[in-house]
Amino acid sequence: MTTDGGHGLPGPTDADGSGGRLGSDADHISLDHLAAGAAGLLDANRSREIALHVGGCHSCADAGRRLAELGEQLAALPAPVIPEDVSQRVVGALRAELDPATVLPLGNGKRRDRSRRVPGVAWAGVAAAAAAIALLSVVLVSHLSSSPSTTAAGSAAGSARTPSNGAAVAQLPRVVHATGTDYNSANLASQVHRNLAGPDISGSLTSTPSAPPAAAPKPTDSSFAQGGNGSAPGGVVGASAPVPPQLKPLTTGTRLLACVSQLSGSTALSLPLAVDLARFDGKPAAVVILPDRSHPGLDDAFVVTPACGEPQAGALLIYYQQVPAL
Amino acid sequence: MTVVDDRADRQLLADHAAGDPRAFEELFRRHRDRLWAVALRTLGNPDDAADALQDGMLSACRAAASFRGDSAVTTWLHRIVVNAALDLARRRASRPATPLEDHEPRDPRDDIAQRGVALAVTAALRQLPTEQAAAIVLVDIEGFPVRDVATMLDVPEGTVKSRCARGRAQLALLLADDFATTGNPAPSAGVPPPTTRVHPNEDDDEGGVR
Repeated sequence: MTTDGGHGLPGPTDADGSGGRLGSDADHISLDHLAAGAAGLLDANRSREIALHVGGCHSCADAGRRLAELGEQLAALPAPVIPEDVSQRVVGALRAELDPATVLPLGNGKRRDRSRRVPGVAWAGVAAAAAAIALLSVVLVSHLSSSPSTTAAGSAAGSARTPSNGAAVAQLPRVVHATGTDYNSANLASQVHRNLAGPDISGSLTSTPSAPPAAAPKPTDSSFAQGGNGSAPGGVVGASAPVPPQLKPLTTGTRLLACVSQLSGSTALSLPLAVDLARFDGKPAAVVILPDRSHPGLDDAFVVTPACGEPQAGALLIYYQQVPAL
Repeated sequence: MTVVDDRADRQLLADHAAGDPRAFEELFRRHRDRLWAVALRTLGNPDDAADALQDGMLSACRAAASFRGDSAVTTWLHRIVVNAALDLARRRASRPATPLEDHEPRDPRDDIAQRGVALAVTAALRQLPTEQAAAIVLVDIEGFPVRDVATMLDVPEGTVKSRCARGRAQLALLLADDFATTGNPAPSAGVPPPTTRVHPNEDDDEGGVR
């Protein structure tokens, strides 16, 4: 006899492996055989035996009905909705796959693999932009020195959507921030907008009085952002915070643009809409916002490790998500 | 089974092959929920399902030129994703016990009973051998014909029927309390304790029941 010992259904297999015995009131047909019969897998003789038994056995008849109902219930199950972070992750992987110059480590890895080295770093693009970087650095130095009290008001969004022109370059330093925010996959979109969009970004490092003097940096190593003054507590949105030490290299023009070039996958000079030298899941990370030219109304938010832009390490992507345009 | 405009799918695939960088992304968006459902319910673990879905979509993206057009695009995509899931299952000795509550439908139109059934089914599928679960998901839940599923899984039709039959028998037992006699989950129905699939690929590939 084959039962499940509690549900009143014949079990899927017999304890003795005989597959269900017929011919006795005490015996029932196993669920395996009932299901196989329903699927047309049994020969004619076996099917006839089962039909005869089921006709006189309420228990097996009930089991047969439940199997039939199970099929209907499975067919009626609502489809689960893909979580947005999973969808974004796949989209990011496809974009990286389809743009040969893109170097995001999304090919077959985990969502937040901090250890994988990125293959195929697009250093040709970085080299091609070298002259532009040098020019940019000069402009940045000029900008920083001439506007030490400049706030980020009215500067963050807009011009970087049309890079490779003087106006965009002149506004680049205003998009680098250190808000001290600890981002995560759940809050990224909302926090990016809260921290980096709009005219009033008090956390912009270019608004801090520690902006460098004009003659201090070398033209190719100008500081986009300086370490915070330490007076503002980390994690407080809208207040400047110290740049995490691991992210200090990304405050240099060459390094940050190398990182951005890797992310954009473009040999042309690409400018970010915003950068936040902050944290992600508690660890130092840079949030780089680039325009998504294929989807009006959306920007691409890349969260990268401090190694982003290093010639030897490549860009290590922690997380990717589309966010509403800044 | 949801009907998707295959002509539009084929056009997107052609656009992708012609170099449109966003065509394949759009193709993914059109099918993502169903592909996610297959990966999640086959593997029973959202992290693994995400990995399998990503692996599958990248494989499809790379292999688009090899699409011969002898099946619907959605069938082709399902084939690639379910095989990515099975490959992943083979690489996994066991699966972590991850709660499933947050990965089932959130559509407010789904009533609580439906959600309860969906959760119970997903949890029960985890207790089946992975290839039985895949067959059940593709045939009974997604509604693909046995012949198409046999092609997807590269096995004879009899093997698909056998896997489905064995899987249904096991599910009927596992879900007896949940479905009760009304077809709705019992008041206490929920997700059985997370389990580890000890033999993820245990199966009888010969078809039939001895």
